[in-house]
Amino acid sequence: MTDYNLFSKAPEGDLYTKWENYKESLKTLTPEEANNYKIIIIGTGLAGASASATLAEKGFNVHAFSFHESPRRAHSIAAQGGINAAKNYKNDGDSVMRLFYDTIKGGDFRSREDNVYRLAEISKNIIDQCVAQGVPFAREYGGLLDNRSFGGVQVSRTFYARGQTGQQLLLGAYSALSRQMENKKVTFYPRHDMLDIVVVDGKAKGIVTRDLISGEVKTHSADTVILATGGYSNVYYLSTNAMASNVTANWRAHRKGALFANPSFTQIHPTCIPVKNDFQSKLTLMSESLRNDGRVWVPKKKNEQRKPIDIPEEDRDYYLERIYPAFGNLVPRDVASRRAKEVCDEGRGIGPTGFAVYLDFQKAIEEKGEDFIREKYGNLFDMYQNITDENPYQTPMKIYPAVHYTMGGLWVDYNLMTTINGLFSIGESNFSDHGANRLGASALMQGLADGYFVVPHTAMDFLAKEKPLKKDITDRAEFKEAEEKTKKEISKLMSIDGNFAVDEIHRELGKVVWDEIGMARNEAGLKHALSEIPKIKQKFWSNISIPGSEKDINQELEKALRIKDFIELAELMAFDALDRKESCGAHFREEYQTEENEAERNDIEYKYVSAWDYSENEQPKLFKEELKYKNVKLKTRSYK
Amino acid sequence: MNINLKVWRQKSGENKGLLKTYRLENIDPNISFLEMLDILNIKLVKEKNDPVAFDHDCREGICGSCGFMINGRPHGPQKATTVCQLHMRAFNNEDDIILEPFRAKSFPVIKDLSVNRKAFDKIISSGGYVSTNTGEAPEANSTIIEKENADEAFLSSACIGCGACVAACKNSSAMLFTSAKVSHLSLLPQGKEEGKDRVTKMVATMDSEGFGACTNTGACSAECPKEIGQINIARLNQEYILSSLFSFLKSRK
Amino acid sequence: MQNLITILTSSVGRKILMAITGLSLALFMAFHLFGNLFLFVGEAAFNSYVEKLHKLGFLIRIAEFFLVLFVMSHAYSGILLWIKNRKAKKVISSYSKGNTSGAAKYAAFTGSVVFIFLATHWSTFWYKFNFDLQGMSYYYVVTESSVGFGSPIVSIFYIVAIALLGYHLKHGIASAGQTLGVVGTKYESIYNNISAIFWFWIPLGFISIPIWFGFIVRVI
Repeated sequence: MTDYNLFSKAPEGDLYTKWENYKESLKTLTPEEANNYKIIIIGTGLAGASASATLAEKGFNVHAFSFHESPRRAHSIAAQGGINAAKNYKNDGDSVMRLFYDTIKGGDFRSREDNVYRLAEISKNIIDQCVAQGVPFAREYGGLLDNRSFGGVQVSRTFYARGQTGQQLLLGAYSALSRQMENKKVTFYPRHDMLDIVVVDGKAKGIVTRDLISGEVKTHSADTVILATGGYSNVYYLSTNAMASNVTANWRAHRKGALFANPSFTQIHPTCIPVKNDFQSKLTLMSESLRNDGRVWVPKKKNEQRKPIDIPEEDRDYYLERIYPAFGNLVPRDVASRRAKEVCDEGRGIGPTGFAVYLDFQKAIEEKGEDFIREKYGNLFDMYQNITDENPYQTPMKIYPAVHYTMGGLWVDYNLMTTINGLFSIGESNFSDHGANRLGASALMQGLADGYFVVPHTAMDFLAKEKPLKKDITDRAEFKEAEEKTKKEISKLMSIDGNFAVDEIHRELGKVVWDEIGMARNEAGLKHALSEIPKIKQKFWSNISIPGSEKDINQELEKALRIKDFIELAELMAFDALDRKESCGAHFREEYQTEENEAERNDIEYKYVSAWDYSENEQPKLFKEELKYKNVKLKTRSYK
Repeated sequence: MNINLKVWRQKSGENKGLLKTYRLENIDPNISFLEMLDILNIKLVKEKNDPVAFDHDCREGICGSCGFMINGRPHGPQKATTVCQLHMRAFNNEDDIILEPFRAKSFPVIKDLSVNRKAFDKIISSGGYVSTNTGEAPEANSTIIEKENADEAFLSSACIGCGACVAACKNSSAMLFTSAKVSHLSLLPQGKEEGKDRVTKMVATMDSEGFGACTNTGACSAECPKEIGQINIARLNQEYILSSLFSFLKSRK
Repeated sequence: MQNLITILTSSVGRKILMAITGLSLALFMAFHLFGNLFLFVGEAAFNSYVEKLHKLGFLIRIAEFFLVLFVMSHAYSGILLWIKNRKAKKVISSYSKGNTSGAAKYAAFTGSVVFIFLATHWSTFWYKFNFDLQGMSYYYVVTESSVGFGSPIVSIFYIVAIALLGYHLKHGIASAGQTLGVVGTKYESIYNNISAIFWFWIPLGFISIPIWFGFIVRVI
């Protein structure tokens, strides 16, 4: 087993000029030189598409893989609310420093200063870039860009396109990618699952894929590999992620030596449509922006039977406004989610399951008019009504938290390189910028920052120091071996021939993960999870059924290959949550809380990034990256 | 509720397909249409039968993956709704529900209800972008865009590329899809510069990909889950006429 | 020039061609009806109107040349697009419930009927007027002869064909407005108002003639 001395490789020096200076020190290649190199990019969501396009513009030959039929289907498309940028267009005192600080504080001081500052700095360029591509952001009547405020901050710095910001940004990145496809600089492989990383002489030099239509397992070699494969919320079975979002590419890289950082930092979004029944396949998020005008409440007494409109003001508990007078309904996601769980656990939850709270627009409609609300949230209201059959203009919405984003991911250094030399990880798939909790409208920002403005520089620097392969090396033993291993695994899965559909096992796994590694965790629960997950694993490997053939389109096999990795990941999440004997951000350990039920952080013992090394038969091994805060003071987060 | 499904089963593009009947009982009317198909598939898997292949991903009506014909209509009976947002309450007890893939020469069937919509990507890559490299952009607010135009451009770019327009069209024309992108970009100053070139290239790709011609029947907009309007087609035509005139004048020089 | 040809032979280019030729033909119809209405003024008026036209001689031939050219290119583009569209739609589901209006769905069919009508119209009226008058007056050819409304079969075919032409124009003119990019501009409502004249009132004007001379006059 390798020993890792985790070091971010961020250069020393002044925080404010660090990235600019560093960028200048990086090696560059001319487009003619770059043409000698081939880059494999897995995933073509915001991060992957933007990185593919930008690297192709620089002259590299990009081979982009996605399990989707088109880059435009990536789940980045579903982001609703917006994208942050420190433009200070509203002149409300915003600045790069402020965005940096908000992000560090929002992440509960578990993210890396240098990365976060760079993110805040780049945020401005992203907006410029997207506008130049024709992204139709919302505008004011004067024709300038409009902003709104978003959970966890007190300035308006969020750029948006109605409730479809992610869609518009992804379509922008997709158009840039399409342009490079037309220029023949990007080759796109649709409907391909990445099933392994190939490491040659200590460097990532290729991948193993399965063509989802023909079932063909194939290897591809390149000078470097970039993973832009998103998050793993689907380990919970029910999440707001798309059905096919998965951890497989990351997990396979992890098994090959990429450390997995902070796996238990998973974000629970406070405003989702509650679960209705057992057949539910996914949860739908209602944009956090709704909390700008909606007020969250539950009845004061338990088992309230009256309809919400019949409950008078004095019998309502606007608990967020009560507990957090300064931020009110706009507290960060982790706080809003946990408080919702708390009131529901007290028995004051509403709806048929008792796991829901009201989000009420009555006051906003009275004060600002229904038209104003319709203009701002019309599509969200329509969506809600379509799903629930209730009209939110007349009766308050019912909401409940749901898993939405994963802060954890592959450990990367300042260059976004993982612990496998030559393997990069960008966007949600890495761990780097959000610490223990992500602020609203920061995911799109990070995906595009990594893809457009960071990895093109750092990957080029890496390649400039590498001799180009210039030829296909998939005939090497490492490739053959990886291909064989993958094929064997597939035949093993196909041969099980048991009694359960893969989805049933997944649902079972999700329940354990949600109950024990969800919004609140404790030692007993985590240990319980660690004893349950191996049973699920056993059941999976002995009793699933995959009809059809592996040499054909087989959606059950695709699922099985993903669930297999989710099961292993779930175990790691439990180990990670168990190790972190503190509460920070989204990681709330019930044993470690203040008298006011707020998270109790332990900066003396746990001010580190947990990076886990995979081990086939033993417990995973923990490596720590100490976090150093030179520019911000560690404070207890307070939103009161 | 109980329903009788007639589902198009086709092993692959090369094989012939046929409608097969499945009966589902005690379906909760509040589940979504795709959740109903999940139930059918779990049942099929447990009986060791091949489950029905269909494309789907976000289940929020935005990724554009899902889409097939339900009783002859793309995305089913509900206006402005993708299949994934359709709920069983839109049907009645003991209804017969016929599921077929989108039918068009340019959308070959992959399996069952899943079709290949690669032709859409080709249309976009032939011109559906602004030619700007990363890092070249000027300060965002240096371009002032009338709110009205920005809002119109947004409505056009809200297209999710699901292909319902092609399936609804008696000619399998991709005009609504193509025109939505042309409109989006030509309404904005950033996209105007390349406008003339873009529209001719995208139309040429649309033709060469085998889509039919638009005969202005309006069926596409009527079935579009994102309500992309006919005005986009008019805008494409305007651009196209300007482009022809421009090219005519240039050829005279 | 090559570029321009490519542009005009694309599906959209052909549509533009169809729109321009179609609208020109619709304008011609208005002019044609203006002449036909002299029938109601009286025999002398109608005959002298036709005489006057004939005196234009060379100019009329040029106009007729363009008329035929427009009809042909309209039909030619229409047929090419129809073939392309048939190819594009692989299988039409027997369960498909179209959202398409009848006028749009049957445009190709109504167009074909109109084309047949035009062919007979030319080989009878036009031919007689120009080369085979046999001492009859123009008025007589129209109102009494066996190629005119003296024959109930001709009258009925004429009425049906013109009605279908109106139906063809109902879709055609709206479609041309879309193709020429009028929709969505400030001229849209004016255009729509005028279009009713062409697809409803003008065909009605044409139909009134066989109804009056072919049936009503005979009964009275």
